[in-house]
Amino acid sequence: MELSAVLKISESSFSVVPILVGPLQALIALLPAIMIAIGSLLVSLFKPSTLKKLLHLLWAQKVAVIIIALVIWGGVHLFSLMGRGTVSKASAGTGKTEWSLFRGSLDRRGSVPGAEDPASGKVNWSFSHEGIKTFYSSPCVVGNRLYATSARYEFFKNIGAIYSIDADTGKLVWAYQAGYRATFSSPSVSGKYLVVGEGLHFTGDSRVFCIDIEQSEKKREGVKLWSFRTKNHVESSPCIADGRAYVGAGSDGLYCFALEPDKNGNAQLLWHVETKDYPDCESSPVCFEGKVYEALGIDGQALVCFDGATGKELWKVKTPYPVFGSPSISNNKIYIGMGYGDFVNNADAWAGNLRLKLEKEGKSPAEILKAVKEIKPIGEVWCIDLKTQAIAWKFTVGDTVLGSAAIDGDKIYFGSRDKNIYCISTDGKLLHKWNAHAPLVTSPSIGDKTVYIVSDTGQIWGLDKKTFAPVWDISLNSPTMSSPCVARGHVYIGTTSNGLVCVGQPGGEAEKTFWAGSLGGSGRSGWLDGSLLPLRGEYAWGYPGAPKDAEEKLALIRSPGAFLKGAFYIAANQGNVFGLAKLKSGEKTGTAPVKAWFAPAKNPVYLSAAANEDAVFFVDGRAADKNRALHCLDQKSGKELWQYGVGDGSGEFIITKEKLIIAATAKELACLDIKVPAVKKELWRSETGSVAGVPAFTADIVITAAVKAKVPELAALDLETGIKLWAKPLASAPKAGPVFTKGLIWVGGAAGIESYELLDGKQASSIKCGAVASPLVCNLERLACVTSGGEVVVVDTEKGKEIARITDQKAVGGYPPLLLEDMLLYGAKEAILAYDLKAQKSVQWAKIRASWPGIMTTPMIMVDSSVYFATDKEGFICLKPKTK
Amino acid sequence: MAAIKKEVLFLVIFFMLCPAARAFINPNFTPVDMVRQSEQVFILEFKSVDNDGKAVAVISKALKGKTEQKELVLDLMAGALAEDGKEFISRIKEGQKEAVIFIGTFKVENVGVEGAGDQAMGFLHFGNQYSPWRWVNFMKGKKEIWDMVKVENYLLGTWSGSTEMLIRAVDYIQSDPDAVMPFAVGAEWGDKAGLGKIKGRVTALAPVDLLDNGRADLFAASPDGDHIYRNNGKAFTEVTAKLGLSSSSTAFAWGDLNYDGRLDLASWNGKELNIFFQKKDGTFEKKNYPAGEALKDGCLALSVFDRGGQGKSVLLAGTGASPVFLLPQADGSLKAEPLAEGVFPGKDLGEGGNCLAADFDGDGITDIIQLFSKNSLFYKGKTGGAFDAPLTVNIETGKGRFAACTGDFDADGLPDIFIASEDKCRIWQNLGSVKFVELIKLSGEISYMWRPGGVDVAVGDINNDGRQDIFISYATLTTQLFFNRGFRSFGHARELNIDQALPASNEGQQAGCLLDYNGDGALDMAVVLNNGEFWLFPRKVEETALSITAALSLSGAYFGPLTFTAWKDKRCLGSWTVKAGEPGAFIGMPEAGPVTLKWLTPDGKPAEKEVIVKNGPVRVILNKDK
Repeated sequence: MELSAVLKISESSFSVVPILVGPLQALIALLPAIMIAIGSLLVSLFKPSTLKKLLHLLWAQKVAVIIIALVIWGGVHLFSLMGRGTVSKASAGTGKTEWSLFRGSLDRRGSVPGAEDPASGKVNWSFSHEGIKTFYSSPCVVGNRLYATSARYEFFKNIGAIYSIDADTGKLVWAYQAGYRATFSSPSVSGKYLVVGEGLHFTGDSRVFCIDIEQSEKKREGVKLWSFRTKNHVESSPCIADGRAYVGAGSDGLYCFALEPDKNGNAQLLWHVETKDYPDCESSPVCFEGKVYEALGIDGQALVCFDGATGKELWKVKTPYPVFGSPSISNNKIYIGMGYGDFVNNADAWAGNLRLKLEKEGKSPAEILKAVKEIKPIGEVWCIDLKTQAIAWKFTVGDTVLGSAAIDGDKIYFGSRDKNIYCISTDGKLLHKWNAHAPLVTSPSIGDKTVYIVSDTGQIWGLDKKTFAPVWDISLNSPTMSSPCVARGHVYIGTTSNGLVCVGQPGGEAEKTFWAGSLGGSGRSGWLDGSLLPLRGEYAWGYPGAPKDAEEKLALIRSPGAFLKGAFYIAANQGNVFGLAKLKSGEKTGTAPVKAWFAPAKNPVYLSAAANEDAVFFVDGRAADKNRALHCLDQKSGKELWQYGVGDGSGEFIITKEKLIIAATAKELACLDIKVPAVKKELWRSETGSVAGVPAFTADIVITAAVKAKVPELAALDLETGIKLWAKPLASAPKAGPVFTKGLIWVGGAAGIESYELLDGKQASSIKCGAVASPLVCNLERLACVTSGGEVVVVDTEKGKEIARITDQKAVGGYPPLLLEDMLLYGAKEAILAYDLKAQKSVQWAKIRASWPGIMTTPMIMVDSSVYFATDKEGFICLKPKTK
Repeated sequence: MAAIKKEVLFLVIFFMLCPAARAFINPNFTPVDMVRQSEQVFILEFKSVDNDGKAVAVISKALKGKTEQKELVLDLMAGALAEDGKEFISRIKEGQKEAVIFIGTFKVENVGVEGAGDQAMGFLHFGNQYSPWRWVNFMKGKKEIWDMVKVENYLLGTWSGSTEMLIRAVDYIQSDPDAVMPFAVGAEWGDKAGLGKIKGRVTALAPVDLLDNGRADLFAASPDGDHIYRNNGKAFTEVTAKLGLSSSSTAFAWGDLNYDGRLDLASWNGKELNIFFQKKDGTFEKKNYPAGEALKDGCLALSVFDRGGQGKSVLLAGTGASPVFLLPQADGSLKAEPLAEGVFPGKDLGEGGNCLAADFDGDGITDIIQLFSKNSLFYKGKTGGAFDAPLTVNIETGKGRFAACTGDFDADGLPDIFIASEDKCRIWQNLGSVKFVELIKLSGEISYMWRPGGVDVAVGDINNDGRQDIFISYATLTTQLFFNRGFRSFGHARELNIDQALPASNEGQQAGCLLDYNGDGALDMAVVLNNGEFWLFPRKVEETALSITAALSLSGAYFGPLTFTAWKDKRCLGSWTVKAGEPGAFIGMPEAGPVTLKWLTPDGKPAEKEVIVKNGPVRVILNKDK
């Protein structure tokens, strides 16, 4: 089974910008013409007179010919449209060649039309760069490029970068660094120009940058066209229009630049309005019909309209509260959100700060009370007529509105710090309201049927636009100030500690339908859903937990849990009671599960279960035990459907969609058909010798590492018949089953890891990393294991080389690490450590003590950002994301 | 030219450093971030300084990072701010020595200034437990000399406590990968509940475990008639009349005074002492005890003391003179026994006489501090229930009415004292060896946010982070809650202000307290406003709140007061003092795991108990065996 298919990481078939038509579609369109041409050529070559007659006939029947040609053309076109639809839902529909202002359009939709709304799935990829994992700004998508800015803002660092990232793979295309500083400003793109600000609040000399993205694309590094140093921060996002870029610079007013530099390569400042007249230009301006609209924050409290060419003020509408949100325009109306508080400080914090300030100024208690009383949680959204500047209506909410209102026809969507997302009509009437249970400080994104919001705690919600019912949610496991960008069937968003992420898949794609076996199957490390690893984990629950009294026995769990569709399957042995328990997950992450059923067995259960949507499989006992069996249970009820005798084999097994392969005896591998769960059906047995671990799979080949007649060998069997295709001796007895990745078979042994060709078992590489003590686990790029010395070793499967060896703390138990994208988790003494594969550093992810919750007795699995494993004191435990 | 360039570079660095200055209560700029982001952290001890500002500081300890250097040389006059440099010099000359410096490398790129490149920067905190000063930025210049760039007041948002506490904080951060020093309280109130209006004055509001089942009822003391509110786990109901409690108290104490295993109330109504004995059916029966000579000086406060740890409580009365034990006699009178032998040192104490009981000197035996407006008296407890003759300690309550409580604000195992008075609030830091120093000015936001006119105080963990926070009720202002960030650095819990939800609170309160009334593992707040309205503010708990409540049971071997410490691995979480009859000491837990409680039993034996908190609140009885 191809890991790439299993892992659902999409690989782009396109890598050049911008992609409008794929090669397949083009070919299909031309096909009829090509066929006709070839046909004619053949005819004319062999029978010129026939050709002449043919032409006469065609002319005589020209009407019919034209109709037929049109039908063929229409059919080809329709076919090519269907083909486009099936190639990749996620990559279709670019629709936009620019994102020229914050949120991409005047109505601030924050989305690129054309692709299906993401409504399922987890994290597709996450991006970080040179240790920077903070993205305060909001990314934008143009074609298949994602543009974003980063922030590393610390006591000793103030750095950032401007990035172009492949929107499908998350790989860096180019970066502009060169002294660029941490920012909140989001890039705007028009044609070859990318304009963005830099600097966070106290960076008092921030610049505006213009990058030539065509040159940058060619050189694969950011190429600056010009930059301009302001006298304050530039947290605002520029608006590009009419050959100009407009951007606010905090307490340095509003700037307008020409997109092109002057002949010396310097920025051309066209006009600038000063802060004394226009204080606190934090919001992102919008340009419409030659006019620029900018909202003012503290001490400004207004919406101002300027002539786009000259910067002359045309009109101003005062507001009762600071306006930090960026104005939206639709149908000659402009919409602004306002209130007390900013992205970091709420109204209460503002009131506290104001109180302090007035006290220091020596104001009386009565004066202070009067001033402070005004600063309370409140927010409003206004609608102002662009022609008359009349305020059409005001809509009041419980706390400030910091994001932009997103306009969708006759509806307006916006979030508030009062934790609600609102849908109101364009005449100011409430249509829907939904509580996200956490402050909303960013802008929503409007999809086709779904509106997307993200809370400041990093929870993304997709709500049905009509009913406002949640259709999808995902946790980013990190606070966020970034607004989501919906494009290409995904949501792209920055986080404050988990990098820039791409999450979600279009419409209701089914989750994994089976858990193949131990840790999710051959080569898997227990992480199948792509969920993000939180910064830290903390204890949530244990099953069954410590014995409540002296009578109760400890639960001994020796194999990792299996997980499928909201349920865990745990091999539990407590006293004289052995079997498999199904635990239904609690409603929320971290809440204790409920036991759904318990299936007893005659012997203790030492091996992990496997499950598909209909059935659950487990093996009891060990090689010497009597009455051992493979049990097939109904997934819902736990009722046993059949048993299959297991002799002196390891009993290790694995399932695919239709088959189950098991080391039934010490000499044989058996294959059962599991298409129909109620029917026990053996397909074949093959004399493989004593198989180590579980076999690996490709589409139609089973690969085993075994010891046959005392000789270790690697073998490939036909999946349908069990017939051995080839067998090659191994240098040493395999420690665990083989793994298939990057087109090669990988086996761990006494000297290290070897790889072999699938076709004939010829050795491809040998990595002398020391005796392998754990199963091999892999992702698309790497493979990891634990050596007999307790060191975690990581191998680059492309290069066939060891790239990391963790020596600071030894891994315990011989359990393989939990291998994520750029991190791995492993159990050490008294802690679970997270190792960053890029930074090559370990940090303590969770503290575990031998006294409590006990010593690890199984490897870990990760589901929905929580980590699960068993201990000798508590049984099966859950470590949920630590939020404090 | 070089000087000009240096000036420009200074200015550039000034602006570059401004991001670091964005430190006032920013989630990215806590002491934890400062330590993690620094390459080196050193404790410095200033050895010398000349008039030109060249100072030499010995690196007395490297808290983080390594160095071959033994000393740093700093140029205190290098920056543009000569006045600050001069003050720095004078403080060193006056004998202030200790500082801590956080060193890292700042990238200065692409700014067209000669000399730009990687710059070693240092943030130095120079203040001690007696004298706050400030943060100063240094830049490593030529010849390894550290040039003073600017005074950095914004870093007060990161740390505005003392240098010695900052050093302890660094130690903690370095030793615990999960170290947290929160920038915000991280808690909010749920919907408030009104419990009606109380007629008459209320002088105190106290949670009492009337049924010895861990569920806190509320007792509102009033010279116009006390009130009891029964807690059913969800709400309170007034049951004063139902229980037949007819007390009116200016001073009161709850304890098992007839040793029948039930909680009784001793009430002083200004003239006489009445004890209300709780019967089996929960109602109360009053017995009058003519105080006579015993309380001829009046009774400022009452408390209950298990003298000698025999499991028999006696009343202790705080008077304007020596505190006295009140021992009921067979003939129905009270015999007063002074707390300690010897003449009462009444001079120079000022007004007062209330007592606080806790193990102040860390020897495991409860002591008593009798509080007065100018100086206070320390009575050292001895095994067997006796007390040494009092020592004068420099604790003052200040002017006018005051409220006081103990709390371990720096988690060193020694109880500190918080006092809110008519004139100001005070934090008396317990330095050990019966030494106290008033340090509210070095205690974070509380240093400038406290108000005069406090009428009631309580200490409790209001955000379940294991630290002891402060709650103040005021005579004419709304309440204040200060959450402890660690090491006696308090932040103002704005999110827990009640003035918006309850505007009448702006007119002041009569009393307030903290309690977990619904057993959800989070502390709630009860207040009685000046207008008599009685309100309950439950803490909003989204998921489970973890906590330990350690209590003494009325059926146990001894009744306290007992001071115990809590430990997580090798780190002391603090000390708490408990008495039978109270719901217990509340220890919030930020995460599941084991905590060890340690104490000395009244007969001098060390005791400890490991408590594992997993999914919710855990109640532990420390005096289980009779």
